[in-house]
Amino acid sequence: MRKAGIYILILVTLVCTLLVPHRVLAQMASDCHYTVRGEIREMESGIPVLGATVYIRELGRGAVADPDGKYTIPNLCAGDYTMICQHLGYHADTILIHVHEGFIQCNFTLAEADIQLNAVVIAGERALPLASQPAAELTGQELQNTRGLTLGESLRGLTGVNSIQTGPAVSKPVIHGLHGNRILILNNGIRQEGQQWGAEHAPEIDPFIARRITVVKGAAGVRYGADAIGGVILVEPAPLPVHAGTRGELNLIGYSNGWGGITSGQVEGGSRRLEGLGWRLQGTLKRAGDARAANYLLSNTGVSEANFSGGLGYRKNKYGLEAFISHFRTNTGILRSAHIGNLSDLERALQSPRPWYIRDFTYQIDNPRQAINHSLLKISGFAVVPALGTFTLQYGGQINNRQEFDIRRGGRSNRPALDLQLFTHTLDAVLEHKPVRRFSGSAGVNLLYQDNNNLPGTGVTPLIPNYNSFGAGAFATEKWSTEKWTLEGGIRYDYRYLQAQRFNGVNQLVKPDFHFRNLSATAGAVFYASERWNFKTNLGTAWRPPNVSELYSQGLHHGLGAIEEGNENLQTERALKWISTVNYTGTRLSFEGSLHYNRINDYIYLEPDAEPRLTIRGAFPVFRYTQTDARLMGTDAALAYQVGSGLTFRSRASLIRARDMVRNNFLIFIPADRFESSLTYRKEKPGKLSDAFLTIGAVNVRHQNRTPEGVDYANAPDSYMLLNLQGGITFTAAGRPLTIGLTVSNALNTAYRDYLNRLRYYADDVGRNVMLRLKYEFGKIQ
Amino acid sequence: MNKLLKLPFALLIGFAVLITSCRKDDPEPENEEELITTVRLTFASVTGGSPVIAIWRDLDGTGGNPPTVDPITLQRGVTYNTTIQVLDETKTPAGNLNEEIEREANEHQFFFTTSGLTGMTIAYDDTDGNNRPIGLRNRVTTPNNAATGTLTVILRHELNKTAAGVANGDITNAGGDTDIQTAPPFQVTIQ
Repeated sequence: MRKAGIYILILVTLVCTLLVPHRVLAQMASDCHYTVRGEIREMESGIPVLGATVYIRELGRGAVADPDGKYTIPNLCAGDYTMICQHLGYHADTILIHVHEGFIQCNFTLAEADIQLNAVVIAGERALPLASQPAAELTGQELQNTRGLTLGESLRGLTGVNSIQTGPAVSKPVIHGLHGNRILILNNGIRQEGQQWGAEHAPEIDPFIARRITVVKGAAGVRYGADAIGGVILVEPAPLPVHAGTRGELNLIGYSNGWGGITSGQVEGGSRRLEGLGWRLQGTLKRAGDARAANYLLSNTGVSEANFSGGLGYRKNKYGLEAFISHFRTNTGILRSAHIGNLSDLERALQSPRPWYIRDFTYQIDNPRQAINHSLLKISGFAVVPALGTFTLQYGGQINNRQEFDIRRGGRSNRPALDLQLFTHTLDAVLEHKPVRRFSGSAGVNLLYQDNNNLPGTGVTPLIPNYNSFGAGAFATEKWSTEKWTLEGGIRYDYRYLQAQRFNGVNQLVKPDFHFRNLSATAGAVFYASERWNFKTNLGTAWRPPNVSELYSQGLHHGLGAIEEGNENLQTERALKWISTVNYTGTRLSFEGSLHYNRINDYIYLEPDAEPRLTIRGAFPVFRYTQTDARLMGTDAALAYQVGSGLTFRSRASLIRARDMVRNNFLIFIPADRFESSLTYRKEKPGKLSDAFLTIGAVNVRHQNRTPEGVDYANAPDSYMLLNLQGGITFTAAGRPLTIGLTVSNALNTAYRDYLNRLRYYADDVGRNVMLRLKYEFGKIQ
Repeated sequence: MNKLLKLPFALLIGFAVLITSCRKDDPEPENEEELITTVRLTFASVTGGSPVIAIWRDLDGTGGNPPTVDPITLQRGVTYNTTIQVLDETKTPAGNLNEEIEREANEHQFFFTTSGLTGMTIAYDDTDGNNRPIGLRNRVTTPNNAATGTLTVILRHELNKTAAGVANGDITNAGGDTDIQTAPPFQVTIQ
């Protein structure tokens, strides 16, 4: 490990040299050809605010909104500005923007002054990874409509995003057919590090933390380092308050399937004495019993969750410091009937139309179950160095403890059969350099250190060995923007060291170690053809080192009745992903379509052995980790059409085709074709009741007929169609909004199985669920 | 270097020192407690004589070496008191798993499937606390003619002991997890 220190010093030197040219460049004059435009709408009704003014504090100039609520401010120099929007009878709204691209869209929502509502200060332009990679967002009402679902389920409504389920409570997001170690999740800016290698290991994140969830669908290896092969998910809380006051919200959710209840609340405030000092406390409690499929109970699928987070920050225009802690704890039952002894048990389950174990409804969570604790500490700071740009430094410390409890003999069921503790420290330093002429960009270093331990005392040979890992990466990206074009590119170098501590066949400790190195690059372009049309294209590479489970897993996988064997000769997996998007925004019709192509060399997967292995528990199929070259390509499309006043039709489609190029075969576990349509009626302004809407939608998932032969235990399930209903309304009394939402998913109680649900061998997917949400907001911030 | 950058660099170097100074104790191998390596059948004739013993053994668990299975030779027209011993022979002395099975008798039951041994009967000869069979002790009665065939011994855990036919040794509705399934089966000769 001494070596690691040397690598860090080299990287530090490297980043120093990277920064110098920017400093020189920054002193040159900037161009002034940027345009900011947007819409100003009333917060309650969404109607345009005619005659509202927008002005830029730093420049003292601005514009007035036209009858459509639209405004334009041309000829801006690159830089950071404070935009203030105001109108008589409304509270003023302030947005900070960072101008460095051709068109900047900056929309305001104004709250009526007499109803004492507060406009939220929104950071205008966020530093999205790359402008040329399409990103889908869940925010505002759409995010509110997913409250109560797991993170994986929440994202399923976005095009190109699916989830791998292990029953109703365990859900892993899938982007363009890739999941686990092939996508990256950033929780409040920190890369989420749990035991992602397991398909039944869901991300340890409370979705209530998020005010915005963004899915980036390109290979984002340059900006984020290893694992970002399929894409990146950004889970972002709202910025901490900077003005005086206190406010909060309380969410109460109840749902029928599993008779579950969720309470989630948050309180935040800003200091009156010290402008810029803000804080937030947030917590969620969740409890549900056995879920129900269309025709029977899914016994032992209850969940119990308790999460909290807190943040404290001090923020000025030129510098800021913030600390964030969060703790996630869950106890999740796994369908009892899915726990099997051997292959004949699995065959028995496949032939049975019902799971063999069904008990009366209960909230009790028995074995098999997972108990997971995840803690995060983040400390971050930024400083605007006038000559250079904005410097950001963040540290993330994570402790992930995963305990899996099995059905065991001899009173051992209260001892975990798997007990893993993973410590992760990350340190990221990024400089976003001051825009110079038409150029903007950033450079930085990322460091990572991991220590994974099997806690002794399980009485079971560990599935994966202990290991230590160290990673370091340095990157630089640069963007060139004009009014019509943005061109961007970036480059990154990564080093990863891994040392495993394992026992060989004769119980001797061995410490094999690995060094992985990789160079990533990306290039992309955005063409803003007009206000209505824009085109994006991006070519990016990404990589991931084989993880320790692929190198060394050894033994029986209880959930699937299979023996999995690692392979220590595995090489780095390298991907090249191309994605192109066309976007049209008209007055009535808007449309987004994209094509993506991902070529993954040395794609790691499990290959079945021809012969099952005979053990005292019976015969088991054997799967070994091996590598091939894979190709995944597909298309995402989404359109929205305003049929009439308040009535909008939406439609979405996601298709993926994946192939093993060496064996000329299909890849397993690729999402089936998915189509979604919905019709929404929204009433613009019904007085004290507002934001009323009603949506009827259908989801159609086709049968996956592109599956490899002889690898899976059962054929892919049939096509299915689900009918969903959703409605909501906001009551405002004494200036306090109470939002009520009602969702009926699988309204017709259809019995179906999904190809990406790992429990489809044993039971149907969940049946009808009626979910009622109440959200109450209180307090105010200046 | 700019003053504002000094703190970050100090932190970077601090991080480097922190992680390079980490030392880790070597792990101890985990004691595999629930391994079953061996099923030992003892056929003691009710009329006396030395018992017939047959052992099914797989010492490397889920490892790649195939199991070894003794053949069983029984006399025709004889009733045998048959006992099963379940062992973990990777331990010294060998772990005796019969004790665990007896302690949790309500959750365990053995089943026997045969092929080619027409006329051979296997009857449970022990019961759990609910008066339902376990199968550690059995009475095996051989037919009056010579025959050859196979015998598979199955142990189910957390099964449904009240399901139809289960008490009579019919595995069809038993459910539960398989703890033991002797594949390949014992080769049985009745002479």
